[in-house]
Amino acid sequence: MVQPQRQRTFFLLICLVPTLLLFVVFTVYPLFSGLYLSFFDWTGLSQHRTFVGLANYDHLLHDPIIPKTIWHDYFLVLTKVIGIMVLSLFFAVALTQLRIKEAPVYRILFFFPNLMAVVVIGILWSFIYNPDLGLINAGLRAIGLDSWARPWLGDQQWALPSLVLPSVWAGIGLFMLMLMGGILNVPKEIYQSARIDGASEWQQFWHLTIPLVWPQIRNSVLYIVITTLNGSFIIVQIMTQGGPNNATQVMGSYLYQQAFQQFHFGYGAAIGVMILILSLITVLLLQWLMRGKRFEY
Amino acid sequence: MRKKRWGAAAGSAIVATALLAGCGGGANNAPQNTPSGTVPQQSTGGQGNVSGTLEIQYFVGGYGDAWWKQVIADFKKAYPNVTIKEDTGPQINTQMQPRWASGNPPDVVYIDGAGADETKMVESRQLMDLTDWAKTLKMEDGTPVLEGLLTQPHQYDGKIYTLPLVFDTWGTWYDAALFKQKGWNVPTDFSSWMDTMGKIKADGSMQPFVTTGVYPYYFIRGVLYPAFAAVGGDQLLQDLVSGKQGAWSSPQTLKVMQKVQQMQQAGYIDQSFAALNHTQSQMNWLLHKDAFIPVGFWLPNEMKGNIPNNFEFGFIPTPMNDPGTKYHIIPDLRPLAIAKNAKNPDAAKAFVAFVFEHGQTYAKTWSEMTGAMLNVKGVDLSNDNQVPNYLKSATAMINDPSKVELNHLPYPMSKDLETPISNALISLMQGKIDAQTFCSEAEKAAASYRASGGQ
Amino acid sequence: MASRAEAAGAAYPNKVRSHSIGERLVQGGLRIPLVLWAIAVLFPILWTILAGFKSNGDIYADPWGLPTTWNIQNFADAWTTGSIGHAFVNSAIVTVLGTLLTLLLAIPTSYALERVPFRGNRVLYNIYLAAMMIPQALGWIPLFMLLNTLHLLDSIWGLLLVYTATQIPFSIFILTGFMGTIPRELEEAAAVDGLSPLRTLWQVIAPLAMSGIITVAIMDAINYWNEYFMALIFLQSPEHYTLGVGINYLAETAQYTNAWGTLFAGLTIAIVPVIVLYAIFQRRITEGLTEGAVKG
Repeated sequence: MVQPQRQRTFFLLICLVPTLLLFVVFTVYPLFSGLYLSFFDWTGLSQHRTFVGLANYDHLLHDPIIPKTIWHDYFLVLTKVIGIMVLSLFFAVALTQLRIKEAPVYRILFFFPNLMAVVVIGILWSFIYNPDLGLINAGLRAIGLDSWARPWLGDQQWALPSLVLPSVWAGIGLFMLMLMGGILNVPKEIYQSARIDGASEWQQFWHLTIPLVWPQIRNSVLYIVITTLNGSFIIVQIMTQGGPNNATQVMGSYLYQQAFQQFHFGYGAAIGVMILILSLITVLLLQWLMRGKRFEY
Repeated sequence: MRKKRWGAAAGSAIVATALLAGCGGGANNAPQNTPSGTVPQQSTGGQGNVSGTLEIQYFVGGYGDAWWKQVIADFKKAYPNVTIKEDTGPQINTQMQPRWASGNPPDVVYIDGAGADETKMVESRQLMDLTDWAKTLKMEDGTPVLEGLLTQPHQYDGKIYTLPLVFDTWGTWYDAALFKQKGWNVPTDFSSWMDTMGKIKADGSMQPFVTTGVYPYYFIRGVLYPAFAAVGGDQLLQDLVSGKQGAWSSPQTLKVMQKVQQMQQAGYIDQSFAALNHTQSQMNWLLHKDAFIPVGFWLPNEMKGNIPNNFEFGFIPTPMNDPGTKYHIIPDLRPLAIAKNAKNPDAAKAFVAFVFEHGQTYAKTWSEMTGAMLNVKGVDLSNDNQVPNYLKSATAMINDPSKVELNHLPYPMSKDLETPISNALISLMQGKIDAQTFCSEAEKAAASYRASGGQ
Repeated sequence: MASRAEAAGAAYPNKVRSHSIGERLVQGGLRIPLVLWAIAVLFPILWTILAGFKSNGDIYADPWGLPTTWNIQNFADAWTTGSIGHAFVNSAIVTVLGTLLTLLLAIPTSYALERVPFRGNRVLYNIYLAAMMIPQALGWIPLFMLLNTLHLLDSIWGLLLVYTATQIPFSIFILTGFMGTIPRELEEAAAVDGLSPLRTLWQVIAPLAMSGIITVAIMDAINYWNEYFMALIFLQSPEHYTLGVGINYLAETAQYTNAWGTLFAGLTIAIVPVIVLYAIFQRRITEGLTEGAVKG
């Protein structure tokens, strides 16, 4: 590109500076301010705080609840990725490849949950799981499976798996649409020639569809992982508050509980740093694992 | 966090016999025929030069906000130069927290509800030292406020930072009409309670006992505290709340937790409890899905509008005591305090003084509006037909020293201790661990609480 | 049979193939999960709307049945107690303006990062990328103090700036992906025609990246519409509440007053208009998202 140096610099400044300014002020500064606070003993209730060095991190390494929260987070990451990707891929293929007349109806309906606030979804699903009034127990009793009915969100074993369903329910639509986009943009000739070569539907799916929409799959997975590690605590906070007996405590909800309910803000900040580090490692690892595989056409 | 040992002075200050209604010759104490709820015309607390904006933070929960609205309206009439800004609602503590953190708190705070922690607020030096000022406060009839309180303020290193306003009492509720109809006995001690629960279980129409597992402190305050008081009195309560070494694993504590285990093993605890919040559990109880529920005095007010016909609130101090001994009650106080960084300390003091000055009047109003009690002596409710009957009979019972013994916590249990203990408690109540394991878990929690500075 | 196959074939004229009976069976079988999921999506939403008309007695006596009386009062209560009216307008303002501001800031930066080589380009890109992983809760208290200093507390404008800042990294991540696929020849041609870089960006690049921009706009808008915790902490006055805070206020209040009907009426007010809007614009949105996904 041929352009005068000054014009180029001016253009770069216009492009980069306002964005960077807002980003630095409202994202980077609070982040470092938070990091800095992780070296303090601070209740978050007053302006009085004491420097404690690495004490919060030392506590982090010895807190028996921390390993639980990490495990719970990765349980949610894994189940959500599998649940959302399998279902949305299935729906995307079904709605694009199979000739289903009412496909647009499903396409519209399935996106509805994406339009609902997490608060709304959390409240709604708390009612669905309600031991007495809830739809799930009512349904189980109606078909004679009384013994399966249980206080889902109060059951130490079932509470965490119970949180997966609303997250999947709320996530499908968006990812389905993104995958549909990928599939629809695959040139039709590729499928035609594969069929001429005698490839079955299943083979087409594995050897054509998956590699062709791999960029969408990869981005969706990354997006689910990031939003889960960063945001799963909202649904936890609304539906179970981490209970019963920490059975649904995730890193984020534990941060929230420590910083805002038990008033150990410094410790909460240390947990935040841990979340940041784990998220970075996870995403880098995933990017490495899911690299390449792009089908060039 | 620095190690701090707060003195526990509350215990001595209680005069149980001077409680509320039923103590004869109430005429001396009671305000003279003042129709409750009338606007006090004058205030002694330095009116005139108090002006500006006064910001008040108060949590609105089961008691509603009608009382606050009236008190604030009255205060405005007495102090026309003061503009009042109210920060209220069920989430107000969370919403206001960053304001406290950034040194921009309201002037007056009523400490109650989710997200409020009196001990932490004192510890982080957020509240004004009221020790000397509180001594100067007088009630309408001239008695010093500190003498007119039912329960004395919590003391932290001998200092007073909060003035207890609402006198909550936890106990166990049942439907008296239903019990009469079914011929179930109202329990007087733990073994008769187990008997009654056995009958209810056998009857098959409902589960014997429910509570909220989402807020396990309902069970801690409503069932465990009276039980601890029954086996070890104020000393045990003090040791447990402060996380003293060996307190949670003591034989006395174990004995109490074994009672809980018995309830669980007998199948008397409705296992849906863990998924229920407080109103859900209370609704189940009102719908006769469960027979007993431990809640504070606000229960009828909180559930008004949902009370089935013929339902009759029955209240007993939770019967965790052994046969032949008294019930135990541990008051739970919700205090009023002034922020250390209050922008208008004069108005804040005027407001707090105003509330306690008219304490007896407002205590009546409070009882009429909420069916509960303020922490004020000498309030005669026996002839007030706006006060619900359960409150009259409950206060009569509480005031009967032959039946009930009052015990006291030195200060509320810190969340740092309450949270891990709540978690272990849920497991015990679900039958995942036994009483012995609970005690060792709790002892561990107490150890780490002490290590982190504790109280 | 033949007519159905023809109809299906007509709908997809470019896909002419044979229809075995087995294939038809598979197709029928595959419909089952679709129908089930459609029910799973619709039922809770319909239930919420119905519960909004119910009295408490109805909700407890027959939680999954029809209301015995149609109680309009719930909606009036939700509107006033939860300030849902204000909240709706506030959320709409924050969502629309926040999305526009995010695009205004993210598009030029994405373009510069993707197409203009300069020292520190990759570093800056990676910083934005890494920022997606920042746990938001870490910054809440510092942000609160910052907004306080800037006198932007209890203001939807402050919230809007914070929202925009939090979504910038994600928006850049998606947009750079799209811009990378636009042929460089177009810019060169524009430069030859004497277009300034700024005009090239808005007149040549932006239209070509439109599907990416729509994708980002939709995902940002959903995020702003849904956010709740920051709004809860940064907004104090009911007249400044956003929808999430208003709804949660109703939910918290319901815990103390048992006003479940009111809560569900509030949820209905929050859900239905958005669904209606979506139904109207769904074709455009779907096109944006599906076309947009190509280059992601």
